[in-house]
Amino acid sequence: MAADGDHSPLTQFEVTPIVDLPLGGVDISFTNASAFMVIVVVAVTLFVGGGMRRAAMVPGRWQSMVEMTYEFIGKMLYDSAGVEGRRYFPFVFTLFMFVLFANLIGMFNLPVPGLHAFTITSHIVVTFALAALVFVGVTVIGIAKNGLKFLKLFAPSGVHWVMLLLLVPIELLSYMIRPITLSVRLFANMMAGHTIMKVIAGFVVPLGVFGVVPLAALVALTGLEIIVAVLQAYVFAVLTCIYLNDALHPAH
Amino acid sequence: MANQADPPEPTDEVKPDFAERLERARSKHGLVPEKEAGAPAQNSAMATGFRVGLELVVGVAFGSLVGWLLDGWLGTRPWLMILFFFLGAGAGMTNVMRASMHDRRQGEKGLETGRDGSRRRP
Repeated sequence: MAADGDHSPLTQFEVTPIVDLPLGGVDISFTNASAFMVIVVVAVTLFVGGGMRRAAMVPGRWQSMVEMTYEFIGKMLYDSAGVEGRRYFPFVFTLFMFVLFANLIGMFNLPVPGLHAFTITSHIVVTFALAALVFVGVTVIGIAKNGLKFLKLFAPSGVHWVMLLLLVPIELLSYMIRPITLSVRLFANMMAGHTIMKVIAGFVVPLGVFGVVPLAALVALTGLEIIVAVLQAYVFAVLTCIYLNDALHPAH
Repeated sequence: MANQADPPEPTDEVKPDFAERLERARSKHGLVPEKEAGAPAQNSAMATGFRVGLELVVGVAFGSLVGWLLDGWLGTRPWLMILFFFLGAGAGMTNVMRASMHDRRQGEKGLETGRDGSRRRP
């Protein structure tokens, strides 16, 4: 394994172009990351569309799964952001499904070269793009809905002006670190988990008979990683809801 | 007396069907999946710890960065960075406090809705 140097635990995160598309000095090649984004979008569409194809009064298994996801996100959004938040349900639902399917499809670690799934959410470019979208979107919604009252978010009412000198910078900073924590949390969880799995998998064959020990650990880790995949998608969506709530009701 | 003989006949026939239909209707309206759907809501201790730690680290790091950039711009080299280091730490703690307050509210809400299985939704 050490002989061929390209088998480091980090090889799985490599972005390789499938179709080269240089466009006026800008590289817009269709990469494996792009391919898996397409796969994720298609999978989500098939999952939701397929479940709703025969919208029966008494849902079957598939329809139940789709309806449960729908109800789950709807409830979460209502609990966090109230009635006004329900208008943004399509956005939150799309975001949740995209992250969830990206995380879960990344768990298909097939031992066939070329078929090894690529986890798009293990790249901070992707997660930061999503988080920046949430950040900009929520800020725009907040200003559009509340106008200048949106700034109350940074200045709690009923506080002496001397304290405001200290509180306003803190509130501003805590608002600005949101996209960073939102993206780093998802990216770090996915990347750390997949790297650990690959490192432990690297011990299985060289240890011979004792390889069953890392193999057993790998089985347990796979379960844990699936939990992390679902949990992180949930955390991403629930934080979006909380930020949305702040934008809709700025005076806390 | 004759009336008493009647009810057992429909209940024997209807009851299992009714229970099944009720369960399906409840699951369709999201009343039953509370245990499946609510599972991710009860964050594991590791996830919570990771979230809190990240919030603190990013707060301090981002605060220091902003201070450093402002210093370069205003030419007050060490001072604003020192000030923003502490402001960033404060921002991180604010976020941690908010997050844990939200978690607790959600937990209380979950207990309330879990007991009778109903949800408060207009």
